[in-house]
Amino acid sequence: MNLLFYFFGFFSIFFTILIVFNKNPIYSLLYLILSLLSVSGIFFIFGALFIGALEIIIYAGAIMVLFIFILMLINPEIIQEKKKNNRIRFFFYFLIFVILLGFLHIFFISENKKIIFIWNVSIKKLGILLFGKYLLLVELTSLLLLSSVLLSCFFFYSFFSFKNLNKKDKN
Amino acid sequence: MISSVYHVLVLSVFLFILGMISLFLRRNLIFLLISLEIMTNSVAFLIVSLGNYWNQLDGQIMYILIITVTATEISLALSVLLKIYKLYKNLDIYQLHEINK
Repeated sequence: MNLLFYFFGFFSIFFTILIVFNKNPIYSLLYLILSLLSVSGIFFIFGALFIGALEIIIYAGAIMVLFIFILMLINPEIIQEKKKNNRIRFFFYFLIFVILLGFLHIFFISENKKIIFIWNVSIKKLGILLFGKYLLLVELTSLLLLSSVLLSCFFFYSFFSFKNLNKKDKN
Repeated sequence: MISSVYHVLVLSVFLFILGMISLFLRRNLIFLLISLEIMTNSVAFLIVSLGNYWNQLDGQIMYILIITVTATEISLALSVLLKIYKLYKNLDIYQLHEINK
């Protein structure tokens, strides 16, 4: 289990670096799905089974598919990056942040005794907490979802109706 | 025993920093949205793992909240992106900006 955590962590970092380098957005999205899958593997190791399943379902199943649908609607020449000097700047930033991380390492080296254990969580406990203690949160989240649906409908409705009006005027 | 909290923290900070670097480097709007995804995902990972460390369920409920907020944010941002594309036929932020014109 200990080794598996480092395996998944390495793969999540590796695929994220590939996302940063890639020029084609569809490859970049596929690498993002792989990175999310490795993070959800870490969740499964910790014992948060429901959260790991939720990550796969919502991130890789819903959000990434939405991204890919939008990419299909856009001209592929516009999406691709053209500048090539990004790699040198990437290594510059990366070096700075690795040095900062080294300072963090010095600060946190005494925390090495605190250890995470496997803690299996059933969905029943989560459901009781969601509809008891955090009822207001669920209500607010439902309001947020409703408002986002209304806003995106309003955006496209107004846009297409204006376009049609212009066409009728020209005719 | 799985790992120390410190290693989880370093992994999360690493993912966040990689997302931030890609946010700095990229010129295209879609790549900016993807890097935002990476950053929110790293923060959610940190929250769930620290909740596991303290044996509290609140972290997982916060994760559900974060994932919903991310979904709404991404859907609205993508609709704005489609509208920008229809209006300007361009997604490069350095050509879209209106300062110093």
